[in-house]
Amino acid sequence: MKKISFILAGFILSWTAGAWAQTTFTVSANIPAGTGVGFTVSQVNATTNAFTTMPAGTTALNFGTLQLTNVGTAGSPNYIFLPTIYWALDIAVTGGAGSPNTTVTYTDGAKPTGAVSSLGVKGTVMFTKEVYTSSTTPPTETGIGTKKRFLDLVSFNVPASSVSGGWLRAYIGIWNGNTTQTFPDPSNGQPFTTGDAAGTYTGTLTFTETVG
Amino acid sequence: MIVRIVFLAFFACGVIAGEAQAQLYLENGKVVLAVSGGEHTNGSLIIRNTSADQADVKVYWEDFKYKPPYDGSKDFLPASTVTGSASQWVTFYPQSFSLPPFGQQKIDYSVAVPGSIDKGHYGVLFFEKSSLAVTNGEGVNLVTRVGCLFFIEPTDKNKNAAIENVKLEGNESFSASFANHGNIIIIPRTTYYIMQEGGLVLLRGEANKVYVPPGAAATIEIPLKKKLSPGRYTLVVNADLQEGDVAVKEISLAVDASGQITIVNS
Repeated sequence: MKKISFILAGFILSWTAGAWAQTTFTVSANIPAGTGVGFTVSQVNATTNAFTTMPAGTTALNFGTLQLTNVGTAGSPNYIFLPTIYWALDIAVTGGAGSPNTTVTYTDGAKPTGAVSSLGVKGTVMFTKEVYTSSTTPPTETGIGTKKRFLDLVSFNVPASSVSGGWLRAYIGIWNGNTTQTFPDPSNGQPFTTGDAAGTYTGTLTFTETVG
Repeated sequence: MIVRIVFLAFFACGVIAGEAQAQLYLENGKVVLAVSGGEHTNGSLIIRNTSADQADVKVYWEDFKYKPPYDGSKDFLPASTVTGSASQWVTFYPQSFSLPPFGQQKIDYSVAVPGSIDKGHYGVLFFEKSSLAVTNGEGVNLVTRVGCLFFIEPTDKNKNAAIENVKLEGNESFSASFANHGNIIIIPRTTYYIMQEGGLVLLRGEANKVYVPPGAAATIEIPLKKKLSPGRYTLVVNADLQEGDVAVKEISLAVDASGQITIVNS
């Protein structure tokens, strides 16, 4: 428990025989250094970038069946499999008197028989700091570090100071190699191509919140 | 009689506002215990479900260690794999439960310290919410967990620390090394001020927060908030190690006519 004391400066102004009486009160309160975490999950249209908020408790972020796409943008191979959506996680941390730090770790899950590469090298995450502007305009967005492959999230830390005054967002997508987009894809990623085994590719992103 | 009462209250609220409410909220994010060899102690934690959905929660222990740049970044590792793990000392109950919407659960823990304790022992009790998994196609599963850090330290702890290697960084800030030579993790609150020769304090500030395990050193940054006029000054760096312990460093500075700062001695 953190003990936080503050002075409540009170002036009792009384009219008694022409005199002012002044009293100072000290008030103390205990605020626990707790920690909490919650998510708002949004599905984002990859063409229009329109957000659709998902029901509370959504934890399975499925990219659906990927489409063979002629990307034709800087740094991208021509024909690769891409989803029509990507995901945005708004991560609300609460800390009472504490300042929770976020740690993110990825672990590979399933991949089809015969697959060489896992989702870990084909998926990407970009962390951003979002700052509220108004109810009708999007938040101001600042990148935290650079976009990473899932596999490179090994105890990746986002200190509380990185999102001070705002909140943490994670954009989760499939590598397309585009080097000209706002947050360019990492050069060490790989696309899904016709050379990849067909089937299910999964992984787990673990978000950990601790105070101090 | 006329009585007028005016109250003025000043307080700061430090809440990081997000778009979602926390679904799991742990009331105590940190347990700090000062213990002697052979001591047994008990306590409890409260976890709340702040959402309208039921949450199935499992509770388990892991070790952790702070890692460079010691800004609070941690590695979480399986229980009993880190030197100084407290995993064998702590038991807790229950280890899994369901939290109804807006419900809460008390978790009791017990700490049994062996015959002697020569340094700090640490670990984290995690509360992890179960999640639905992606079963077909390509996708990722989200897992969320909140942790309560346990700091179990000897009553006769050694908080020996020093501020070393003060350097000028581009005439606009200083850096220094906070070295932990003791036997517990130290999380100092480091403040500084610059004094003129006559003793007048020109500026004050607070350095970045660092989390320094025994035997490690972290860089603290001391920004100069305004330009110094030519003359001689003293930079005083004060690291509050808590419980009345401090590490202090005084550095003599000289500023020439061009505004260039020189460290005279440190």
